[in-house]
Amino acid sequence: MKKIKFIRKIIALLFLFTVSSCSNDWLEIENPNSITSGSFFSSDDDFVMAVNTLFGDTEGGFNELWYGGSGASNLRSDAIALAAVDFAQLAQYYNFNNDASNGISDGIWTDAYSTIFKANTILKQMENYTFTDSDLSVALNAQIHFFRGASFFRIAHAYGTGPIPLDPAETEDQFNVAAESAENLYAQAIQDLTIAKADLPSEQEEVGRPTKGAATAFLGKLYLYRAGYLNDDSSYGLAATEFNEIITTGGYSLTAKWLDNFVASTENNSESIYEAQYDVYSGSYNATQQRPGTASVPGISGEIVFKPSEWIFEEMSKERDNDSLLDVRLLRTLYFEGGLPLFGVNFADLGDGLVCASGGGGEDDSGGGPDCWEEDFTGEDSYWTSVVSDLYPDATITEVMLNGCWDPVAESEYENVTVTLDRGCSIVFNHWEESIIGNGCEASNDGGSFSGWLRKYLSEDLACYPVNNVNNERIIRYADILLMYAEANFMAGGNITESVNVVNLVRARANLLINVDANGNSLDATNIMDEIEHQRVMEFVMEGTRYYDMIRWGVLKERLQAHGFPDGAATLDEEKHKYFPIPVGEVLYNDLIDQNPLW
Amino acid sequence: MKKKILLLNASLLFILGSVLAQRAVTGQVTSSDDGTGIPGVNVVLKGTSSGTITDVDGNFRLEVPEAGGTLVYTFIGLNSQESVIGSRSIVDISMSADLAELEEIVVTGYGVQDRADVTSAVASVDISNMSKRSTADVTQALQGTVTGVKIKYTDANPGSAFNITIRGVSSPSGTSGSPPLVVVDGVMISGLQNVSFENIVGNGDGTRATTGLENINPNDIESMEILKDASAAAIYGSRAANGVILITTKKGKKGAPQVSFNAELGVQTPYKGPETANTAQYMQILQSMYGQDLGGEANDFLMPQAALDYLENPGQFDSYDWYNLVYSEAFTQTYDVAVSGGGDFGNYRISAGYKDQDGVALGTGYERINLRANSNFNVSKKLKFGQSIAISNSEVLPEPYAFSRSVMFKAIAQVPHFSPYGVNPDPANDPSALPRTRSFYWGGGDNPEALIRNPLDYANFWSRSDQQSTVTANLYGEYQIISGLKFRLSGSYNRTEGFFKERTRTLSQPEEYFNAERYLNETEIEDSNWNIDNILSYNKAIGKHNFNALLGYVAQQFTTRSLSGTKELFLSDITSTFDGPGADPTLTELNGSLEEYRMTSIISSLFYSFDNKYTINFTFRRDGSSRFDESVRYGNFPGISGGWTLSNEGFWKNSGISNIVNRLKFRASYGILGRQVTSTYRPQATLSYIPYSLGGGVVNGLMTPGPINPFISWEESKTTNFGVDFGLYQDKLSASVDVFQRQTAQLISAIVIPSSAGGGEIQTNDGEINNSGVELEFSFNQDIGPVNLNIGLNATYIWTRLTSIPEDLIYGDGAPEWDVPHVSQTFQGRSPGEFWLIETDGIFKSQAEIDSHVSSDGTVIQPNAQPGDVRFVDANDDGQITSEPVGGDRVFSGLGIAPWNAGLNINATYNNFDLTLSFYGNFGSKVYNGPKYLLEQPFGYDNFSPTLLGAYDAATNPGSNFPRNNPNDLGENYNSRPDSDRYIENGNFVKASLIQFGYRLPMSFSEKLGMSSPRVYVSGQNLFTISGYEGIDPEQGRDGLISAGIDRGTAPQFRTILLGFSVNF
Repeated sequence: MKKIKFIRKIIALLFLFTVSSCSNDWLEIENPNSITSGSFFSSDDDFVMAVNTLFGDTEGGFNELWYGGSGASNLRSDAIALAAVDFAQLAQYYNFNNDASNGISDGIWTDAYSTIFKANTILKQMENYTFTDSDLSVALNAQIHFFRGASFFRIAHAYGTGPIPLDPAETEDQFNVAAESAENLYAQAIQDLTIAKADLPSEQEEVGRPTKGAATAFLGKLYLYRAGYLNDDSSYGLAATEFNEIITTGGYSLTAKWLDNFVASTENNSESIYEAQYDVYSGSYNATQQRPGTASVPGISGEIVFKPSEWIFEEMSKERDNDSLLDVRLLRTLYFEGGLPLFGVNFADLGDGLVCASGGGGEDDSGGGPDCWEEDFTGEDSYWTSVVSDLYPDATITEVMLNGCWDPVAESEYENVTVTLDRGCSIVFNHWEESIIGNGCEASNDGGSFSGWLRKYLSEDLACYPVNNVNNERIIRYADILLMYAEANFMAGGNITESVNVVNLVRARANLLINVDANGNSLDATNIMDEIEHQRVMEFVMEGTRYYDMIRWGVLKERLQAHGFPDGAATLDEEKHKYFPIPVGEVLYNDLIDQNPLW
Repeated sequence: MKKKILLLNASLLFILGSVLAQRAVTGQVTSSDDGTGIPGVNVVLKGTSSGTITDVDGNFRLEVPEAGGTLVYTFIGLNSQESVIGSRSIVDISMSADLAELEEIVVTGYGVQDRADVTSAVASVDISNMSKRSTADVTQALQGTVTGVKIKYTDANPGSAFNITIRGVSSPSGTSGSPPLVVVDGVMISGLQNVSFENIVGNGDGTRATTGLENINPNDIESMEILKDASAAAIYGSRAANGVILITTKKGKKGAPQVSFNAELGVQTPYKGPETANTAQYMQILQSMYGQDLGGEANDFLMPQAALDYLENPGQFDSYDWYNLVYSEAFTQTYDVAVSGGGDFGNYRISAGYKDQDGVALGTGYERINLRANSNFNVSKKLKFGQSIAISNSEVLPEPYAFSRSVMFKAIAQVPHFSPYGVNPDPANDPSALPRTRSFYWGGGDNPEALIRNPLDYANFWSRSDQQSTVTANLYGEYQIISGLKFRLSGSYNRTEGFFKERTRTLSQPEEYFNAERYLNETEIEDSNWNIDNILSYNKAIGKHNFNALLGYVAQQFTTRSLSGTKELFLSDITSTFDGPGADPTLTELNGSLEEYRMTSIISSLFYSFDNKYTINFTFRRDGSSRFDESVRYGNFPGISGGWTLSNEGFWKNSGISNIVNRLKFRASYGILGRQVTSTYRPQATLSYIPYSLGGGVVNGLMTPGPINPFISWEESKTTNFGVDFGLYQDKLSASVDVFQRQTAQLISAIVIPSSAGGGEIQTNDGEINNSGVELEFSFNQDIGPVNLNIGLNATYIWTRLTSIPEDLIYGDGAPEWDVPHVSQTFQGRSPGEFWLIETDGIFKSQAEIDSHVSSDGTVIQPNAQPGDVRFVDANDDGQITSEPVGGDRVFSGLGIAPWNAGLNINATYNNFDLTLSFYGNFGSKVYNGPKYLLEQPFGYDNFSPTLLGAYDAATNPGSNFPRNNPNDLGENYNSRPDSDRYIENGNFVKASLIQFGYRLPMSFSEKLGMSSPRVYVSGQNLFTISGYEGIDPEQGRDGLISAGIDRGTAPQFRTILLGFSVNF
C-alpha cells in the first residue's frame, strides 16, 4: 500500500512537471534561416544595400525592364524572325495575334513596378533616418530617382497608361491605385530623372552605378519618345538639348572598334553610358547576373528563339566599306555556321565571317584554332552533282568544294561539300551522311534552310562561348546618343549640318564614307532621316530599340509589310499595338484599372 | 531483467513442449446456431501457452500432455468455452454467440470504444479484405474500401505518392490537397514533405507530400480506423482537421509462439498506350501538312533531316513503338514473416517484410525492408509497460529526368522511325549502341530542335534515387491508480531520413542542349517529431450508467533539417561522390535549412451512456502553436456527439418490428477543429538577399519584403454529422448512412497584391470552404447452401463549394505544366478544379457556314476560318473568340473532381475455396485528355495520332468532321487550342482493383507438413477498367484546385498478376 502511494506521488509529479513546462517561452522559436527585417534601415549601410537591390529588376528576363538584347521588343522588330514556332505564346505575340492573356510583355510592367515599389519603400525610410554621411544620402537619393524615373518612362511608352504610386502600399486599401495618362507618367519620370541628373556624379567610384550622363541620356530619350508617341513636336527640342549636353560636356566618345561594345573584356568603355553589369554566374541565387540566352546559336546553348530576318541581312550588306568589304557591323551581328551560305550568298563572298564549328569550341586567336582543309571536286562526277542535277536540271554546276575542319577544343570534326550553281547560290551537303544541310538556292526566311544566327554579344575571343555569359548588356551607348541627337535636332528644325556631323561620326567609325548616305547620295534634309534609320539598324540589332523606333515613327506596319513579315503586318493594328496590353493579373487584382481600350 | 526472463521462458516452453512426451487431440468447433465449423477459434491448453487456431472447417489439432488437461476456446463475439480432455483424443465442442460481445471494438483517439457506443463518424477498415491487395503503399489498398475516403495516385510509378482526401477538398492551398493525420500505435507519423522530385507530378511545385503511410508494412496492420468528423478527430487537434487514420499494429496473442509466412510473386503489365502513328502514317500526315516534299510554302518548321531522308529512301527505316520501349512488363515480389506469442506476462510480435517492385516505366523501381517489434508487459496487476519500434528502409528509382515534361509524352511524341539506338541505317557510325542523344540527325546543322528527347538516353544519362529510412518508436507505461482510474505516460518518436541523389554522366554529344554534365546533387532531409502524452482516464459503470473521462496534456516538437549540395563537371564519370576530383568550383552549391515548430495541448473528453440506449460524448482541446504570434497563439476546439439506440428500447424489442429491424441507432455530432497551414515560423518580414556586381565585384543587396500580416492564426473547421446505423434480419443486411457538413473557415489564403503596388501576396485568415455530403455503407451476409457470401457496398457523394475565398483565387492561365495548360479553374462560390473551356460546335464545311457564324450584332466571329476549321462558340457574344479567365468565351465544362465515389467488395467462400472481388469507381467528373491534345496538334513534327489521317480535306475527305490538318494552326485559326472542349471526356469509371481466388490446403495434407492453414492464391489487380475514356486511364490528376482531372501523361497504370502463398506454423 505504501508503495502504491509512492508511485502515485511520482505520477502526480510527472504530470505536473510536464504541464508546467507549457510555458509560452517554449513556443517561441526564432527563424534561423533568414534575417528578419525588424531592425533594417537603421544604418547607412542598410540603405546602400537596399539601393543595390534596385539594379536586379532591370535585367535578366525575356522581357526585361531595360532595352536589353533579348527583350520582347526585339522579337517584334523587322530584324528578327522567330526561330521556333513551337512556343505558341511567342508565335502569337510575334504575329500580332496575341490577346491580353498572352503575357509575353507582362514582365516589363511587373519589373518596372517592382522597382518603383522598392524605390518608394527606401525613400519613405529615408524620411525617418538621418545619415551619418550626408553626401551618401544625396547620392543614394539620386540613384533611387534614376531607377524610379526610368521605370515610369518605360511604363509610359510601353503601356501608355499606369498608376503612379509614390508611397509604398502597406494595407489592403492601398493596393488598388488608379491608372493615369501617359502625359502624367512622362511628367513623373521627368521629375525623377531631373533630380537624378542634378545629383548624380559624372563618374561613379563603383563602376556600374548610374551617372549624370545616364540620367541625361534617359531624359533625352524620354523627350524623343514622348515626341513620337504623343505627337508632341515640342519635345524634340528638349531631347536635342539633353543629347547635346552629353555630346558637348559628357566626355564620351565612340570606341575605335565597334566590336568593343559587345565583348566582356572592353566593358564600361568610353562609349558606354549605362550598362547592366553581368558577373560570374555561380549557382542559383548566389549569382549576380548573367546574360539571358534567348538569342542563342545552335549547338551552343539555350532554346533557340530568335534568328535574323532575311531583310536584316540585305539591309546590313547594302553598303561596302572603304576597303570594299562588308560592314563590320554585319559580320559581328550575324553568325554564319560552318561556312554555310547565308540567304543564298556564298560564304566566301562575305569576307571575314566568323566560323564556329558546332560544339562550343570555336575560333581561338591564341593559335589553337580549328585545323581546316579544302578539296576541289569541280567537274568530277559525284553523288552531290547527281543530286543537284536532279534538283535543278536546268542549272550548271560551277564549283564543288569540300571544306573540312577539325576543332581540337571541341574535338569535333566536319566535312561539308558546297555545290555552287551558275545562278549564284549553293547547296551544302554533309559529306558523311550525304544529306543536304543547307540549300541556299531555296532559301527563304519562312523555312527551307538558311544558316545565319545572331552573334551579337558572343564575344570576339570566344566566338562559340555559351550565350549565358558575363558580357555586360549595353543599355545606352554613345552611338545611340549621337543618332538620337541627329534625329531630335533635325526634327526640332535645328541646323542640318549638326545632324550630318554626328551621323558622320557613326559612319566613320564603321569605315564608311562620310557626308553620304548608304546609297552614296550626299546627306541632306531629304535623306537624313532615312540614313539615321539605316544607321540605327546597323548599330542596334538586338539592342531593343528597333520596335519602339518604328512605332514612334509611325512606320511599323509599313516596314513589317515591306521587310518580309506580311503575316504580322496583316494582323497588326497600329492603334492597338502601339501599346502592350496591361497584364491580365493587374486588371484582375487592381479594381481601379481597366484594360487598354483596344485590348 | 524480469521481462527478459519471461521472454526466454516463452521460448523455452516452446522448445520443451516439443520434447516432453505428448499426444495429439483433434476436434471440431461448431456453431451452436447452425452446426457449421467455426474457423479461427483460439484453442489453448489451460495454464500453458500452447494452443492453436481452428482451420476453415473449425477443425483443430493440438499436442497435449499424456495426462490431458483443459482446453479453453475463445473467439471474439462468442462465449468462451472450456472442456476437460480427460482421456479423449477427439474433443468436439459447439460455441454460441455472445450477444454482449457481438459488437466490435473500435479504436478511437487515446482509447477504444465499443462500436455500439460510437456516436461520431468513425469508419473501420475491413483489414482482411484490404490486406488481400498487394500494394507497396497501404494507401492504395484503401481505394474503394471506406466511404468518404478518396485515394488517387499521382502517377503509377512504384513509390509515388498518393493523395488521400477525406470528405472532400477542404484546403485552398494550391495542389497540396488535404492529407489526413496518420497515427500508428499512438505515434503521429509524417512523411517527408520536401523532397524535390523535379519530374514527379507530386505537388505541383516539384515537391511531393506524403503521409508516412507508405513506409508501413501492410502485413503489420491489425486494425485501421478513420476518424472523419471533428468530434471524433478533435482529440488529435490541429493536425486532424482533414481526418485521422488510426492504425493499430498486430500484437502477439496469448498462446504458443506462432510463425506466419507469406510470399507473393507477380508480373505487372502496363496498360495499353495511346495510339500513335507508325512510320508510314507519320510521313503521310506530315505530307498532308507540308506537301509531298515536306517543304510546303507555309512551312514554319525546319523539317528534321531524318524525315527528309526517309522520303529519299523509305526502305532504310523501321517503325518503332516508343511507348513499348519505355513501358514494359515488370516483376514484383513480397515476403513477410512474423513471430508472435503471449502469456500472462504480456505478449510480443516481431515481423520482417521485404518488397521489391520493378516499375513498368523504364528505369523505375521500388524496394523496401520493414522490421517491427511490438511487446507489452504486465508487470503487476496495476502496472503495464509496452513498446513498439518499427524501422523501414526504402528506395525509389524515379523516372528519368525529362525536363519537366512527362516521360510518357516524350515517348509518344517521338518520331516513329527514329532509331532509339545508334544511327539508322549505319550502325557502324555509332558502335557503342548507346541510346541516341537527340531525336534527329544533327546533320541539318540549322535545326537545333531537341525538345523530343530520347527517353532511353535520359534513362542512361541520368541516375536518380530516393532513399528513405524511418524509425518509429513508442514506449508507454500505464498505471491503474484505483479501479477504473488509469494514468498513462507515453513517449513517441518518429524520424524519417530522406536521401536523394541524382547525377549525370558525360554527354554523348557535346552540342547537346543540356549542359549539366557530370553533375551530382545529394540532398539529405531529416524529418523528426516527438510527442509526450500524459493521459489520465477514468472508467466507471454504476448499474446502467457508464462513465468514461479523460484528461491529458500533450507536448510535441517537429523538426525538419535539410542539407543539399551540388557539384558539376567532375573529371570522370566513374566517381559518384563529392570527393570526386575536378569539379568546377564556380558551379558548386550548398544549401541547408532548419524548420522547427512546437505545440502544447490540453485534451479532455467525457463520455456517458445509459442502459446502452443513450450516449453522449464531450471533447475539448486547447492548442498552442509556435507557428503563430503570441497574441493569436492559442485555439480552443470543442466537440459534442450523442446517440440513441432505438432498438435497445423495450418497446422496440417487444414489438414485432425487431424481428426485421434488429438494430437501429441514431447519431449526431458537432465539433470544431483547428488547422495550422502557415509556414513553419510565425509570420515575420524577412529580408531578401539580392546581390549585384558593381565596381567589378559583388556587392550585397538586402531589401525588406512587401507587406505581411503577422496575425495569421488558426483555420477552423466545423463539422456537423448525422448518422443512422441499422441491421435487418439479425444483421444479415446492415447499413450506415451519414450526412455531414464541414465548414472550413478562416482559411489562410493569399490576397494578390497588384503588380503596380509592388506585387506578391499578403496572407489573411479569410475564406471558407464548405464540404457536404452523404456516405452510404451496406453489407450483406448470407449463406447460400455451402457458400458463404459477403457483399459490401459503399458510396459517397461530396459537394464542395469554395464559399468565400479571396476573389483572386483563379488559376488557369499559368504556364503549362508538363505541356498541358491549366485548363481547370477555381472560382469563388464554385467547386474546386472545374473545367472552363471554349465550346466547340463541329467544323465549318463551307465558306457559307463561316460567313453565317456571327454574333448577335452580325460580326463574323471567325473571319479567317477556312472550311475544315473548328466552329467555336462565342459565349460572351462579343464577335470574337477569346480565352481570358474571366469575361472570355470559356464556359463551365464539367467537374475535375468526381463527386460520386463508390466501392464494391464481394467475398465468397466455399469449402476450402475463397473468392474476392473488389471494384471502385468515380462518377460525375470529366477528364482532360492531355495526350490527345498533344498528339492531335496538326503542326510540328512530333509524332501524331493516326486520327489526323482522317482529317477534313476539301478535296479528298470533305465528309470528315475532324478539323483540317493546318500546319499554321497556331496562327489565325487555332483549332487545336488547348482551352477548347475538344479534349474533354467523360471521366466515369469502374476499376477492378482486385480479383483473388484462394485455396486453403486441406488439413490432412498440411498437418503432414507441420503447417497450419496454408493457403495459395492467385490474384489480379487492376485487371480492367470500364470507362468511356479514350486515354490510358480515366483516373487522373491530383484532386487539388488546379490540376484535378487533367491527364498529363503520367506513367500509366498497370495490371498485376500475383501468385501468393501464406502459411502459419
